[in-house]
Amino acid sequence: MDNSIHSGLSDLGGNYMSKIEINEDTEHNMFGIYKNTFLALTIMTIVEVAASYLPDGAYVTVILLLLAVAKAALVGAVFMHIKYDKTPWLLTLSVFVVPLAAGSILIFNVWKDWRGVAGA
Amino acid sequence: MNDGNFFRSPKRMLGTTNAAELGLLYFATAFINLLIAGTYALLIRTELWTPDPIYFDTAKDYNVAFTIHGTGMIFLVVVPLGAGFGNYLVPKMVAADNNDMYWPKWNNVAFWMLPIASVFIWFSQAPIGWTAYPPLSILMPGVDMWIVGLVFAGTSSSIGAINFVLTIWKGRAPYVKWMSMDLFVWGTLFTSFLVIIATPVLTAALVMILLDRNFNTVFFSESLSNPILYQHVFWFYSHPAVYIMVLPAFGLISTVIAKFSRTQVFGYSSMVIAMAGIAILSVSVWAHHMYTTGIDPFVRIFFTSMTFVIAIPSGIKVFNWLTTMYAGRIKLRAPMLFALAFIVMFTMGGITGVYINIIALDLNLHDTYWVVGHFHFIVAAGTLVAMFASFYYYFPEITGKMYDEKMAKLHFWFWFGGNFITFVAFQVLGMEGMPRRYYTYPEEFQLWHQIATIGAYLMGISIIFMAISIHRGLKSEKLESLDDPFELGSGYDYPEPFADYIKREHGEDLVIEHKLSIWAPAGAFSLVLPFLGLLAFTEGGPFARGKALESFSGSLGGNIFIVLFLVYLGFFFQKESSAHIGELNPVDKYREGERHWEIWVFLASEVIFFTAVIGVSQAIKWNSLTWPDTNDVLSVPYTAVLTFVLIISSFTMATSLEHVKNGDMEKFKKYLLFTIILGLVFLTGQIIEYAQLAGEGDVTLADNATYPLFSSIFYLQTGFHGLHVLVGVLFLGFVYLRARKGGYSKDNHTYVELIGLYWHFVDLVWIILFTVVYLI
Repeated sequence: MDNSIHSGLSDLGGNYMSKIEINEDTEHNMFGIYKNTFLALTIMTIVEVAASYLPDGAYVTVILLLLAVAKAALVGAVFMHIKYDKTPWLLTLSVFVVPLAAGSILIFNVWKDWRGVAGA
Repeated sequence: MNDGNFFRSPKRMLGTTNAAELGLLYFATAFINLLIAGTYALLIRTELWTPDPIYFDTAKDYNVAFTIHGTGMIFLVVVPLGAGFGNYLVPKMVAADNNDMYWPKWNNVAFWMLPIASVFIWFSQAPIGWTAYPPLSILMPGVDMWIVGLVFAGTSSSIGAINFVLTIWKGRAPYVKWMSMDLFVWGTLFTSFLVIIATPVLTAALVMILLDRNFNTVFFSESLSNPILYQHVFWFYSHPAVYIMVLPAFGLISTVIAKFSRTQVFGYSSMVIAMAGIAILSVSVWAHHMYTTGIDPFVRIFFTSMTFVIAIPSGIKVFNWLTTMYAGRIKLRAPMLFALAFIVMFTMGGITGVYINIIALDLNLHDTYWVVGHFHFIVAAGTLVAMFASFYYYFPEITGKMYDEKMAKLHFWFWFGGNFITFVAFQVLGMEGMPRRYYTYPEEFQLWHQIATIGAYLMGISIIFMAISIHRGLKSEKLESLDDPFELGSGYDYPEPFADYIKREHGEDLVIEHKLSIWAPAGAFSLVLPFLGLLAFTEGGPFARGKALESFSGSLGGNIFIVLFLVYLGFFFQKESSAHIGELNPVDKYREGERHWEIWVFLASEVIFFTAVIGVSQAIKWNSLTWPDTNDVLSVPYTAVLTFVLIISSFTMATSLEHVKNGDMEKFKKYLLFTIILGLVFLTGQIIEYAQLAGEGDVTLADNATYPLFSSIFYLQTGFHGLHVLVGVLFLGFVYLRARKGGYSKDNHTYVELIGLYWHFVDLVWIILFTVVYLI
């Protein structure tokens, strides 16, 4: 197979062969960004564990959930490079939001229709 | 066109990565499965000729027959036929870069999982109905094997779906515009999205049944949990499954109707929008299968409303087909006859679906033959008829010959007549009050049962005519030209192949090479080993219900299967890690610079899988009266350390990737090794945690567990995640082996990126799990 043919493909049209890469300036700083992200995740995990020992209450749950979402978003944005994608909204929407929304319909209905046995 | 020698070469059949050839294998397998599932249908109808036993000795044998018939027709006949047409047509319709699927080897793996699934399902002899409702499915024999078969079928379907999405999205030639694609491509695309979204949820439901049967979990226990939970999870997949089957049929039939009406499809845009509408709405109608379960009234109203709404896009399509014919000049060859039958039968099935969505009627008709008539009109008389129409239409292209028209028309009349007689009789029986799934009945139902049986035999005879038509076609002379074999004024008009375009525009001669891959089918077959191991661990083997944990150490067969699998895995890793990266896929370079949709689409399916598993677990927790305080029963500080380990591993993985991008191969390998070690530390930590919990007695799967439902849910969530970590460690190990052999470079590290994304995702899931399982 003649692989040299591929060199001409980028001319073939539109967004089809568009490059989705991190720009050069950002790439040089990535090690620093990873370290900062790692530190942020570590600190938030310590805060989470501490918060879990607070007296039960809705506010603790909210804090814990917000921290979890923030940590997950950091991993997605930085480590998975979604932040540096050409169209981060497209990735977030198609990979996370739509499946979460579809799954949420199931969760809501299971919750609404649950008739568990007392003691379960 | 097939060269005719394909089916004479077992090596080619086994190792082909050519999409068109794999399409033929799908057709052949589906046809064999159709014969088996059809035979079961005839046995059922024979049994019901009189109220007294004729063929089956016991009610259980009868239950096996309708279970195998239903499961087989859906998962082993109709869904694979859609995949077969997809393989044969989609790459050509989108002028994919090498006239092939995006992942040729995975395409082979996906196909070979189908015969494996077929064997498991046929031999399971499960007597539970294709819906496998608990508690019956927890109690009956054969279900483990049946579930393994379905997991293979579902995995085959999922790999195929991701491959179709990538082929259409990334492999499509730049001059094939979205709104000029054949409607079958749209149908396949939407079906694939549905498979990706819904199949992981079915897998979760089936695995939960498997765990309830063998590992003492209580997800669907009538005393400790709620069996209705299964219905929600099951139908979340299985109602969209109707559209998974019918959307490709919509696309196929649109082409046949337009061609034989010698005009264009009326309302192309509205056809696409209607299919999109059906796909989106299809995940919000499942509970219409559950109106009689005592479901929450609010939930019932939501689902009845959505079910009425989803009829609208289906109606749009029917009117567009009618208008296409009205605007054209119809030629009544066999494909068009089947297409006309499709419109009639599908409309009957659709309207009866709207009818039974009226809650007051459903309460009376639910679980009667009326429902059986309704869904047979959709699947057998609708979807399968569309497949017949397209099979005859593409027969000349596939074989270079023409089928026997007279026999094909006899096939049509017998099938159409048989369908109509049988399924109308079903609906009459249902209205009279005949419940489904009974092997005997009061004598007052006998006349309509006998009418239904006559219709079923007409269908059976029709398949003989089909076989004769094909046989005579294959024996006939080659057609002189395939430009317009039906003399319709236009033939199979595909866009110009990409290779031809490049040759014309750039003067480069791109050689299309379909390599044989023995490792791909070997990979598919190797996956049988751990499942055979699992089945062997069940008490009394695969046909019995048992407790896998109790017989773990004592099952010699199970251990042998597992060891064989590990040996194979080691051998495979060694072999593949030595392969030059360029050999993996001939079009890799062509894809450089593109976003890696392959992993993102896979991750989307993982998102919905974990959403279902974690979300449903949370829904149960919110409603539970006796959920333990996690600080009392779980060790949060210990797990926080494990969480920290996983976070470090994400950091080392990201750093490793950065080093390979910069060309620093030593640091790349060093950080990759750190990541593997951290993954192993996490897994070891989880095993130690499980052992400690089992010893303490609160969170355990033993009979005397203090919190059985909490324990089941805890092990389900963390166990599935642990399995993902294990798979991640294995793949990282593979990448490391290859890296040591110089398999990656600054310019060639795509697979490192892919496994990196997977690893970060696994970390992300754990972050959520740690909070919802351990902290809240």
